Amino acid sequence: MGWDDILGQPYAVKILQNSIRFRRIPQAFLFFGEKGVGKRLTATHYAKVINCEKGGLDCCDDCLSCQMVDNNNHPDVRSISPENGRISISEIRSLKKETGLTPVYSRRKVYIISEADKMTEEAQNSLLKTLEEPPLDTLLILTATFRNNLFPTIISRCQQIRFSTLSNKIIEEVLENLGVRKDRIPYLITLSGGSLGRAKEYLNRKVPIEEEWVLDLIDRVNRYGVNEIFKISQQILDKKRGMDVLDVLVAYFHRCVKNESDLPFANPIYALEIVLEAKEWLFKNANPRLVIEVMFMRLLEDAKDV
Amino acid sequence: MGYIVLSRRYRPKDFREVVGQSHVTTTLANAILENRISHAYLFSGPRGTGKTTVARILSKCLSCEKGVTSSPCNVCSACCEIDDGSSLDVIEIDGASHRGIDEIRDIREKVKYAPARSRYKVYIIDEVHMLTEPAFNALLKTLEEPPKHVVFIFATTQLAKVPITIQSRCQRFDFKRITEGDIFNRLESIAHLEHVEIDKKTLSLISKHADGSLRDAEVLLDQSISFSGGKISLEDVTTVLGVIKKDLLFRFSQTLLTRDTNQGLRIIDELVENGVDLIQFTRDLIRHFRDLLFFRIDKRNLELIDVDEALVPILTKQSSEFTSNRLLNIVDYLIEVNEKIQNSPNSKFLLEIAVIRLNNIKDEIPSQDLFQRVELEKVPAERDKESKVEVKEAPLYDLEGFSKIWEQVLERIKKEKPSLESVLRNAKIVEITDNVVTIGFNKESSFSKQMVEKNKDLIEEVIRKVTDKDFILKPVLIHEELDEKSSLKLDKKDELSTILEAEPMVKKAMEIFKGRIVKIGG
Repeated sequence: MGWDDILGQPYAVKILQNSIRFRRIPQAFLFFGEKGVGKRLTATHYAKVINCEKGGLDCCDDCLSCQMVDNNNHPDVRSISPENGRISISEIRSLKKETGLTPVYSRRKVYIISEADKMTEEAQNSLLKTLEEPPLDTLLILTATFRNNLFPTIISRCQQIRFSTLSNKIIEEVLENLGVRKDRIPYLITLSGGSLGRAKEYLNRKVPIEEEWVLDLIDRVNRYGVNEIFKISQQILDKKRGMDVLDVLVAYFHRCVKNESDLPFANPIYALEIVLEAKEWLFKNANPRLVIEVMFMRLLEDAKDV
Repeated sequence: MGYIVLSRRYRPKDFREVVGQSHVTTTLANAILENRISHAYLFSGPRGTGKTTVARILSKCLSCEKGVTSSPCNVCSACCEIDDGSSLDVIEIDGASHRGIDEIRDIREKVKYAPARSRYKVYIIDEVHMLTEPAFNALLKTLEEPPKHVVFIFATTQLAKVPITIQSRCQRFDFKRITEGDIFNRLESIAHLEHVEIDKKTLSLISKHADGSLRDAEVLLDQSISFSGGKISLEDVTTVLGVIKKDLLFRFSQTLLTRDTNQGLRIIDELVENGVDLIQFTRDLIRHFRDLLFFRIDKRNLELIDVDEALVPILTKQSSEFTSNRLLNIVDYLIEVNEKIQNSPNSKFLLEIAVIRLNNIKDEIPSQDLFQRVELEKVPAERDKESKVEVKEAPLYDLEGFSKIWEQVLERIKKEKPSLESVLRNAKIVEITDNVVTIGFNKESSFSKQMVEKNKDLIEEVIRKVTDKDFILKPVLIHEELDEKSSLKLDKKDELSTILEAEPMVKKAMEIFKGRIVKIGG
């Protein structure tokens, strides 16, 4: 693959290419932006290019170094990602131990810390000194969804590169190339919220997330009231499942708001707000079942009020 | 060899190069000249203000082969070793990863030995706030009375996390945020040394964005150079920083002005397509509306507003078309949104809702309307006065007379809300004055009281219909017994206590504790 395969990130690609062209590869990058827009992919690609044996502006995909990166067994390109939802100080410590050694095979050692915003406070602190003055043959690439979860002292030591959400057109093209049914595409686009990763994730789900299902859900709640809510919520046992339902509802209400079509709820904005709030709670690890129940009850109340 | 980033390459090598911290550097230089070197220093301040740098310079001052000096030579082997971190006598420790008591014990062990080559043994502990509590405590004794040849330098961004006992043993220096002007000058000289073409406007944009941290500024400059090569334009830096263009903000505020929701939503779509950071956009919007508000309040506030001269006409126009109230409401609401959006996975939706809300809120209350409303509010008060006079002339209801009326009231309420009637039947009219009916509930039925309070309007309305007069209903809880039933209860209690008192066990207990029966539970 080449730089062209990184979709919808012209700014990031340009700055990264130029840093190679002008021989100004810094010691630390921070890639930040939504999940599933290509941060990790770009980081790996960058590592591949700067270690490519041909030494060009793009990788050759042919040399041993490139192949090792592709096969995920390059001794000098290491990646760290959260375990159990966080990156602990011991992982950073072992990384630091390694930074003291010279590269095994290539010119430069690259450490990719994915979801760096999941580093614990201690982990972040212990990375500070290394991040400021790593050995000259070392590059650290941090990726993060929520930049604000990182210390200002961490951010200040990195070149920050913003990754944007992808345009609908790009997602549409990719989905088309994957052979997705035409009529499903617009729906998946709304669900994706500009993240290709999320769109693909929904594509692979087996759960019923079609619009009819949602309409049916809303209809059932409206018709049978509170009891139906408890029936539905019984099926929602884990966070992931809960998120699915909420995402679908968000997409649905979002469309309602924009089209102002015929609505089962008098005030779709309010409904959308309720669902978004529920999503936030779930995001913060509230009990999924409770979140869903409370949300539906509030929706029901809203429908009655107006 | 790899490329060294600007912030590292241009790290100041002596006190004169340090930017914007003269209160620290002068004091330290003078202390060295007068040979009053403390054995422990604590440097605190925000990121990128020079703490680690000054710590290194200070250790060079103390170790330079030319003698203790306020301007180290930077050429002798001692100075060079410190610069590349290989000195035996200047030990730089990362406090955040070596934070345990074992590491501190190790230091305590080694402090005793004389320096290998220099006069002093300098321990620099960076990020010292991350030491564990036992580690800090283990350090206390050594820190109070270290051997003569030892100097400790601590650096931290979070002073509050350093125990007071540590702080009091150190000379403390607070590093200040660096002013925009100082950052600007520094960047200018770096750009010159790097042979980079960059104009003043662009430099000042970077300096402003660095938010008082020189390292941030240098990283940004570095990034801008790698983005655009030898010649940096304002355009490039705006892209690197992700700054939202002013005319876009004005376009957005125009949609709020005309309450054109669709156009507003389209702008957000456009932003997303162009990959603009929505969090940044929200922040800039707040700033933008704050500017409009300031300008609306007083045209002289222009100096507080950061806007191009070319945009002043549109600023004038828009700010005069908005009302201050609307602007205030917008800013308020956006601040709320900003808080939500920070950690939300749904930034786009939140912003869209914000647009719709902002266009739908009927928030404008012109001052004229307000006056009218105040007038309206006054009227009932006056009416009240009049009615009071009337009431005095009218025959007063006494408790007995009112009970008949009360019966009628209850009958009527029964038709409307049977549950309320039954609740009211349990209540007792306690007092009746000119226009206040006080009804009492006993302590246990506070729920009934709440119910009555909820339906106060209804009851008052019914009373008005029956009596043709305005009464205010005042439900209260009564502590005294309401009727014979409760007094019976009380008798029962007394009886119980006499029985209990006769019980030998209880008797004994009362004797021992010199007590009496106050309450009987159950």
